[in-house]
Amino acid sequence: MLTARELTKRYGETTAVDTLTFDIHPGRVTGFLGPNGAGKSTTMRLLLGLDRPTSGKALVNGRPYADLPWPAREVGALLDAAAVHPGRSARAHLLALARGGGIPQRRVPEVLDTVGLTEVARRRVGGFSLGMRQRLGIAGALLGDPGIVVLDEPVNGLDLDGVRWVRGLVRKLADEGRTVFVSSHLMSEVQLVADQLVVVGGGRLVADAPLPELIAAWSRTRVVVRTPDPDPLTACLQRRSGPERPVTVEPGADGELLVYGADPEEVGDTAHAAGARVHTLYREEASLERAYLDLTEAEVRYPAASGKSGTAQGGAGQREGR
Amino acid sequence: MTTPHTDTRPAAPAAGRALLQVLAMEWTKLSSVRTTWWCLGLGLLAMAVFALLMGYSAADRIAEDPDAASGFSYAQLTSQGVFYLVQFIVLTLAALAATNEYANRGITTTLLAVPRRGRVLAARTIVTAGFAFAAGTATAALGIGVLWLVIGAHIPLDADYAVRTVLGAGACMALFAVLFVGIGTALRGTAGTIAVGFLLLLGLPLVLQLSQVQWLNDLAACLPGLAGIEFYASGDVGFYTAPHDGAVNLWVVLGWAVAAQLVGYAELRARDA
Repeated sequence: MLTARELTKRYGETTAVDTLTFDIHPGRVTGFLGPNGAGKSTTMRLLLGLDRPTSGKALVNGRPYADLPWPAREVGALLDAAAVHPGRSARAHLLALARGGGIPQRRVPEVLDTVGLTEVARRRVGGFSLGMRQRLGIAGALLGDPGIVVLDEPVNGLDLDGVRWVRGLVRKLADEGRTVFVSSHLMSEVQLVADQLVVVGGGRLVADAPLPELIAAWSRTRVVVRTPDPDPLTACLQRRSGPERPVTVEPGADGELLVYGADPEEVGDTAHAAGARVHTLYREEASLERAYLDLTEAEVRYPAASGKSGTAQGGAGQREGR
Repeated sequence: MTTPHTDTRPAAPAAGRALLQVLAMEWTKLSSVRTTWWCLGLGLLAMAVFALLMGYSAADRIAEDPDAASGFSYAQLTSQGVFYLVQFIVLTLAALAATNEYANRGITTTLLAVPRRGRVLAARTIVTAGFAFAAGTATAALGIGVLWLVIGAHIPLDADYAVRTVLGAGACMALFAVLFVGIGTALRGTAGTIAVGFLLLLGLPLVLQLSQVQWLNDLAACLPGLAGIEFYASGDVGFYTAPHDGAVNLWVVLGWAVAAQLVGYAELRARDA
């Protein structure tokens, strides 16, 4: 369980993380999504006690990271795959971490095997490809068999095989009941693995909700109508709006009408009834990617209510539903 | 929501055991990098060549004029070898040990494994100082040994005096390691640490002595480089250093080391990793 409460980090005038509040629960994969520079890495560093928050709290299992008795056995993290001395062998790197964290040395060959680096264990890290370093970083995160796994952009630099391997690993870790917190700036990547999404933009919380809920909220399908008689059509459409099925009409950028809550057939029939001429009429599916970009760019806060309902659902049932 | 992973939460290790863990980690890191061994090898080689050179030149002088033998000192030549060569290798080693993780960001991995920053600094300092002690004694012993091989037939070696030089050099190199790990931790840059170290050990004292002003000249003895050689050469430095002899010089070096560690610790605690 990772907890952020009103977490804030300022560097001089810039606010990297702005009053973030969220909980990351065990048993599911929580995707941490935001464009580059949104404050994802800083938030992770605050949670892991590397940076000091300007205000607010960052807790791991209810206490600050530095107060954990065996941090390496409770939390495993990959923050920066390049963060290894290039002159050290993969094995020596992990051995040093095991010794520092009070982890049995037999875990070193085990995790090397898990990430598929056994063959190159004695080679110096300086000669590793980015993908191999990424795997070594993941090996380091898994070393203490931790209940919480934090991965910052784990698929960066991996080839397709590697990406699929990480997806499988992340899924497996969550299914074993661990807390898995994975950041990415790619919507498409997170969409494939996450059960829950925490979205940030400009250091602020944009959304914290189960993935299906966000998809539903963001994928607003709409009907685009181009008509020389917008007023009667708008009036007629609004008359069809009811409490169960609200229909809203917004003017588009080029004078077209954007209709939400009605399908193209209905809009066409309504136009006919209203006597409005129709020049163009089609359905437009808003892409999730586009919605995410709009959301993070505008830093609109997603209503907290839906985030709460998602929290209450718990992880297991949700996963079965997928 | 609890799982087997978070349920079983063993008690924290005792402080002593925790420090041993971090010591093992820091030693694994120091010893698994080739640079460490290159530095030690370079120090030994430099000292051997220096001792050969000095030994043969002294042997030449003594062959021409047997009275020159009275001016020969094992401790003095070995100490100069430590001063001009070995201490800069210790400086480089300590600077790298303290700063390389800031260059390659490995410090994040280290602090994730050991979030207590004081413990990391303590372990890093102890490991580096231990290695520097070994390097200091080994190079000094090698220097004396090579000199003895070259010139031992003419001039007997006072074993007690030799042991004092060897242990003195080891102790002083260990304190230099403490000093430069502290400075490196505060500065976080390898080049900056080595530059500051070079000034403290050689540059500043030379300039102060060049001033020809007596009190500035004496002040140079309060810098770690000159105080150090005054100590391990047991006063037989061979060039002017300080108006005072003996243990006070070790206290001077110790004072520098403690001050640097305090600054390093404050920086490590207060600044984001």
